[in-house]
Formats: sequence, C-alpha cells, structure tokens
Amino acid sequence: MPASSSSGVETNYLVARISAALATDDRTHALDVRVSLNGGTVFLLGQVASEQRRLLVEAVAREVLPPDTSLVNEVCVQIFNEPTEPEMLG
Amino acid sequence: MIRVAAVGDIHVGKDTRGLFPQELEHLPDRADLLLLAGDLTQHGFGSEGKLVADTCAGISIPVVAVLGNHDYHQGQQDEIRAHLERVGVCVLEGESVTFTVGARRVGIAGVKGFGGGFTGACASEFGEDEMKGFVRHSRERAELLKERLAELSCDVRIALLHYSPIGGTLAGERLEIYPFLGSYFLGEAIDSTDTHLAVHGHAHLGTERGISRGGVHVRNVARPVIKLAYKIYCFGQPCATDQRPQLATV
Repeated sequence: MPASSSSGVETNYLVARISAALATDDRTHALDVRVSLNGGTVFLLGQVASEQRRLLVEAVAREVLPPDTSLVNEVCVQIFNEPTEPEMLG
Repeated sequence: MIRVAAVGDIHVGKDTRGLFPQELEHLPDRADLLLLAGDLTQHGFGSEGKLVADTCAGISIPVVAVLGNHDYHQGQQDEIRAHLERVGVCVLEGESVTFTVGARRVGIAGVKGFGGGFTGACASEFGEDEMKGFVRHSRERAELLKERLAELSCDVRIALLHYSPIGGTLAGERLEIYPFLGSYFLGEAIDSTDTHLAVHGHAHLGTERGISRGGVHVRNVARPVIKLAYKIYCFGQPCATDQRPQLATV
C-alpha cells in the first residue's frame, strides 16, 4: 500500500503514536513500554509495577488503535526480591 | 567497610507503594546507607511523594535521594522534596552530604543531571534558543555536580544521579535515544574529582555495570535493570566495630 494513502500513513506512524500516548497520557506516563507492529497486530512488551498499570497501558494503546487492528498485551508485572550478595568495589 | 545500597526508578503511585516493606526487610542489616536515584514517583504528584516518604520513614538507615524527570512532570518537585525531607531523607540537587561510618567518611554529591548525549553524538549549545537551553541545563547541572564532588572531604566519594554519565550503562537501549538518557558533561564531572562510584537510573533497558573513561565505577540501578529491590556496593575491609553511620556535614 502506498505510504500516501490515509490508512498507510496511519499504519506507518501507529507505533510512534501509541508510544507517544503511553508516555504522555496522565493515566500511564509509561516511557519504557516497547511497541511493535507485526502483520497488523500491535504488541506491547515490557514490565510495569502493578496489574493496574498493565491494564491501563493496554487501555491507552487501544484508544489509539485504528479499527480492525488487534493488540496483544505482553507487558508483565515486576516482582523484586532483596539481593543476596553485595558487590565489592574497593 | 562502607556498604551502600542503591536503587532508582521505583515509580511509586497510588496503585503501588514502590518499595514494599517485605522488599526492605533486611536492608538495615546489610547496608549503612540507601541511595535513591530518581524517578521516585510515577506521575510526579506531591501525593505520590508522600507515599515514598511514608515508606522511607520506616527505614532505619540514612536515605539520600535525587529526583528524576518523572518527579518534575507536574511541577510539584518541591512538594515531593518537602515530603521526603520531613521524614529525614536527604534530597540532593547540586548539593552534598557526608556521613561517617566507623572511622571512614563517605561523601555523596547529587544532581538529577540531564541529557545531551556522549562524545561523538552529542548536542551543542548552538542555534535555536530551545537547543541552547537544553544543552545549557545539562552543562550547568554537571558543573554543580563537579563543584560539590570536588568540595567533599571523605574517603569514599559517590555521585548520585538520575541521568547517566556514560554510554556504557545504557547498552540495551536504542542508540538513537542515548542523548535523552545522559550526558558526557556528567562523565567529565566524575572523572575530574577522584570519584569512586557513580550511580544513576533512568535507562530501564540499560546495563547495570559500566566504567567511565577515567576509570570510575558507574552503576545503573534502575529497578528494571537490577531486577532486585536494591543493590549493595561495598568499599573497604570488614570491621568489627560499631559502624552505624552518623551524619557529618550537609
């Protein structure tokens, strides 16, 4: 599809538009969620601190999606444990 | 021995307290100080700073922090800072603090820092006012860091940052965004002041360990990078005497 068609332009810049929405939307402010487009499906990848943030990332991305575009949310919730060994530096 | 715990990018919001009590259960037994390398809040609200402060209030070792870009987003960075200072957290922005641990002194100078990039791929103070302002802010933050580091009288000198002083700890991030993740100005500051360790966050997809051109240990302690509640870095030999840290100078 030529890039000059409206749907082509929409697709070409879709990843950038979703990334910008995730970074600037007041519900998310998520700058490190990776967005990719493969075969008409948008994939969200990365880690967030809570299940609520995982769902909000998906909700914000869906608001940007054009019709007939599917989305797979592969964002995970992080769990952190205490370290077992220190690093000796001097 | 001086044991320094560090973590950045805890991104506390109403949905998560960021540093959960069970994540910090053994911290006072394992470290003398805790450094927080910015992005303490998710959205930059003062109310989120209160949540961070509530957690820090329960930590029995000294806590030293810088703020990050998320903490500035709402323009409520002063409120965040006030909440933290109210519970005894030492917040640094172009400032320094010194503690004594046993017979040794550890000095910490902190700034948020800023972007601009690294040697061979960096912005210059040239052209439009917006570009000059961007680079000027980065240079001025780094100059403050250099001044505070140089003034410290201590055995172990640490730079506490949010943005990175080197490209090495950004490995994993896309090369195109390095200028938004750190600046060589910060690297120059740590390399010209006999600094022993620089810790930073900000680069969630980066690498924990790096070294500056001048040989300074640099550690990216963003939690998504270290994948732990915090990391601990040690200096010197173990000592049997009581080593609880004491505030020396601010």
